[in-house]
Amino acid sequence: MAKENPQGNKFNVIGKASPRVDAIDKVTGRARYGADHSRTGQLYGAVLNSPYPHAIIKSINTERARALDGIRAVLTHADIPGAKSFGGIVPHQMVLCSGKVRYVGDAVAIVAAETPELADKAIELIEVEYSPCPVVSDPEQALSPSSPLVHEDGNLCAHHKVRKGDIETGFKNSDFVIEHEYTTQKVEHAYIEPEAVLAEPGENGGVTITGSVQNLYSIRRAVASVLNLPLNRVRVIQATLGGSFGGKDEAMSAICCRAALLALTTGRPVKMVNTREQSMRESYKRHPYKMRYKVGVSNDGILQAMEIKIIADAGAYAATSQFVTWRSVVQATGPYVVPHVKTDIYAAYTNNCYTGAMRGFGSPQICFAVESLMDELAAQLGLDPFEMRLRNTLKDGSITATGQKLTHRVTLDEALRNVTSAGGFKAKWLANREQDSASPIKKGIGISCSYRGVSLGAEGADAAGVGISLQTDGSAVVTCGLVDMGQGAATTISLVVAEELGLSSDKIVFLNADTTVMPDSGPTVASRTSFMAGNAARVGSTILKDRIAPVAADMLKCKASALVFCHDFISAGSSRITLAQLAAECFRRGISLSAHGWYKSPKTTWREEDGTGDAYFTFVYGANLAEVEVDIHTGRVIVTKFISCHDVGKVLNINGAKGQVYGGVAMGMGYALLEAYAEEDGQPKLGNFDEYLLPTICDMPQTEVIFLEGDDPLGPYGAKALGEPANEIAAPAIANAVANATGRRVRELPLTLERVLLGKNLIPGRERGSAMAKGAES
Amino acid sequence: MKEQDTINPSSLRQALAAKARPNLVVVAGGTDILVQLHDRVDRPWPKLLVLDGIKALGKITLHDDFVTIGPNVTFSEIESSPIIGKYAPQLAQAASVAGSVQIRNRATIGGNVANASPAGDLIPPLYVLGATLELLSVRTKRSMPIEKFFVGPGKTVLKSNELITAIRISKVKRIGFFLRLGTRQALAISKVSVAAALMIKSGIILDVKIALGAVAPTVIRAGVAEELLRGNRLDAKLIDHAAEAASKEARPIDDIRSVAAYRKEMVGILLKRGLTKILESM
Ligand SMILES: Cc1cc2nc3c(=O)[nH]c(=O)nc-3n(C[C@H](O)[C@H](O)[C@H](O)COP(=O)(O)OP(=O)(O)OC[C@H]3O[C@@H](n4cnc5c(N)ncnc54)[C@H](O)[C@@H]3O)c2cc1C
Repeated sequence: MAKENPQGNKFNVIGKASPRVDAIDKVTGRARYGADHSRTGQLYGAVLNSPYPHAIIKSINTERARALDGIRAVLTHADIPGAKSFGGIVPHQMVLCSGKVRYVGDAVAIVAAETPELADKAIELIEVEYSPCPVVSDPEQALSPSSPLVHEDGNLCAHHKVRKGDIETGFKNSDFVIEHEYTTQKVEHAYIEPEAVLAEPGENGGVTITGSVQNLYSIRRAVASVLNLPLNRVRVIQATLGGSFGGKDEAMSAICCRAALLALTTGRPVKMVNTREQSMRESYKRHPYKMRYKVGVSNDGILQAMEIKIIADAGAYAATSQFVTWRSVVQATGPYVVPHVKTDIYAAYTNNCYTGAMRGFGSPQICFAVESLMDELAAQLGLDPFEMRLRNTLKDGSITATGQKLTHRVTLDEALRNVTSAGGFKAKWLANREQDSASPIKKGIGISCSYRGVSLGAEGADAAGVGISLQTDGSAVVTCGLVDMGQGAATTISLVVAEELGLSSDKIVFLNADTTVMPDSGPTVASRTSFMAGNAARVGSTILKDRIAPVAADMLKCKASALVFCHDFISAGSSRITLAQLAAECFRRGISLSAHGWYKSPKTTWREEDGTGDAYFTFVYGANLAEVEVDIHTGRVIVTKFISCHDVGKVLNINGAKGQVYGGVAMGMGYALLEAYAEEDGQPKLGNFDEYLLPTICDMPQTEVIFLEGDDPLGPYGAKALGEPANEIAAPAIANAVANATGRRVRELPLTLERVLLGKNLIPGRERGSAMAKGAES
Repeated sequence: MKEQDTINPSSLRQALAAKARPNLVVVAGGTDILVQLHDRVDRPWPKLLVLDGIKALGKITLHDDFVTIGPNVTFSEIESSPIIGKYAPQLAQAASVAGSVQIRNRATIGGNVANASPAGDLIPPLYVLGATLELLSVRTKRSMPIEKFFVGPGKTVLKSNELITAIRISKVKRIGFFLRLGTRQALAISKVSVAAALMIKSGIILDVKIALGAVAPTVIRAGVAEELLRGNRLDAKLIDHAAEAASKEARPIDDIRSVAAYRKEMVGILLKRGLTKILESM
């Protein structure tokens, strides 16, 4: 393998500013997204959703729909040949509901028709008789014994705990104790491309699915079990993805199962494309959390105890709730040394839209709570927030809340120092507290920091593969079991192969993922792709290089160890050959030019009884700083400046890395200030982006990015992770800045104008604003 | 979007003739109507009468006593027109903060008025400028003050065969402002808006009009606040009184964009800000 170099200057492509390998396809429109895939003779699928969040289905009558001309199939649960439900952790998510519906995104029937209009028409003709049940909408009430049940075996979806030391001793050792409740809202991924899929009956009796899929292998498992097919007859191909952010897993399993069912029933290709409104209604969201923190500190500002109780709304189905809440429980104390910890997190089933994976995966919620809390503690102690943190941060060799000793370099303090010194934190923070009272515009500055476990950790199996096929003209095809969903994985993986084989990256074509080509590499989640696929790409490249190097040595008449692979040439001293010449010669000699790299992550451990263990094989550290201007007469918050520092181990592509941070900050800002998916009694109160407001480019502050390269011994070239860390601490930095400006702490997100001014948020309206105004006179 | 059955007249006469037929939907910039059609459940779509080929409706013209703004004039054109900047600065301000560049390049003043949203940003400025609308059908022609045009949210007195063919404002010079609050910096419908036009001579307010947006079923005038101000000297205390009065005149509701208590308070804040700025510049 190419030698790691502490100065980082020995690399040909790694660490430089490389353009995305898919940039030209995307800007010229050559890239084909889910909905761009069509076949002649295809049918169009449509779904009948439940109007009720909770109801017993008494009867379904599809006769009138079937009688319509141009309708090729009308299917209900009775037509499913295999399992009626799916789910990676709890396989209870209904493909088509039978006994009852549990949220308004549940499907009761599906239709395949010659045109989309006919399909919609047929949906309207399906008659379903429901008997509504009491709606469970509050996760806390859902856990009370008197609550109606969403699932027969109870409303408790998950409970994880962490126990460290003795909490009572911790509070005894504390000079004072504060207790606060923080809440975060439900938010939508808001990928620009709604779910889209094309399912084709295969020649082998199976089905081929092409679509906007994030986790191909879990979707394949779902489709295979629902259709009663062996895995090898279900082929899932990833179309170019228009964003996902964790969102195209179970939501895609559902639509893929339905489309595949229609395709096999009719024997024709079936296309299903969600409208934005359907996507909002059906697709899972980020878990809203209610978090109670009781924290004890001694007079010198040292944390002594944290008692944490969190309730998460899982909505109607489990999806990844068990794992999301597990990450929360591991990281709930924030990146601090706390000798006595007692954490309990519960996820409850309700009749709200279900919740699951979303960039951050259980961390943005707890980061908001802990990082707000650290500022509140600092205020009590008369310390500044930076100093308060420094006294408690994890350092080299520290023990985490789960009892894990950190054996790598811990760069948290460095990250905090970087953002505070670049932002002039302390002076501004002090000055902001004594602002001229005449102007309603108050300045604020705030910081936040986090540690985050890389990859899946003790969640489960963690391995991934990369395939490399060198061609006889010196070009190469690379593919991977993990997907590029816009985060730049195609570019990163290509760069690793380019570095290792001395190829220029424009000689590489990166193929979208395909379940029949690559082995199950797990999901593209948990900021694991650069780490896992990067390592697999190095392994694969090394295998290939070890095979072809002796041929090169033979051609150049030198020792294999003297060879240098660079810029499409292999040289030894002053003589050289092209990689194309070498590849052609290997082919002539019958040497395989294709290799497969596999990487399995190091071991992690976990004891569920008391929540202890080496939860993740390594961690990343980061700190954010936000500056805001708050209009205290209107509650308007403008983020004027942002600084984001992350230890990524090693920057693989500076363009991609910066892009992750800018996007992460934008998403975190939406979480902090704007976004909330509103539901009332299980009914969504908004359906599209005219009401669900995301930040636009005009809201984006000037953002400065600082990378730390802590050099992880395990990562490819020392690289770790960035996608989720870049997002998780933006909101608390903003909230802390707002508190610095106003002198008032808001413990609920988002910080809308109304909430900042009145401490009150929008009441979700039943109709659009202008239509609602009709009621004003009465 | 699917291919649509449309009529594309190039003259006003053709447009009015077409408008005499029932069940036709007028499209100017399309930024409101296409969204509304998208949300409709009853398909297929109605036939569309597209106005943007009628060049005569897209002009700003200066007359002896008044300015005529064609209904097809876009927000971008209003924003950058020196005539509007001179005689209707409130209108220019409102046009410049609405939507986004893309929306402002499409959205028209006629569409903003005809859509009759209480949050329509050009409407409060037109109220305080005393604008008159010209409404034409094949056979009839009438004009009316803009305040008589609205009945409720999305409801106007426009007859099914009529079009708005001109918007007139007088050339009397007044000072004024338009201020609004939205959830984000761009692409946000107003939560609250306030427009005002004043005639001030040696510190005394000779005449004043104030209009409030998004706080009632239609844009409304703040009559009590106007009465307090009229004939008096503009000073900080008077501004406070007027702001308080206007706040009381607002009749807002809770909806997806804001809450009533917030809107009520903001009417006062925005009016106070606008008037204070005028006071400071005197
Ligand atoms: C993303 C977005 C952001 C927006 N932001 C704002 C904002 O900040 N402020 C704001 O005020 N509005 C905003 N709007 C709403 C909209 O852009 C404006 O109301 C605009 O002025 C409508 O003009 P239009 O030409 O697009 O009208 P259209 O959509 O073409 O028409 C609107 C209505 O007027 C009728 N109509 C049009 N012309 C005539 C005529 N000459 N005679 C009779 N009837 C006619 C149509 O039949 C239709 O009912 C926004 C809209 C969008 C989609």
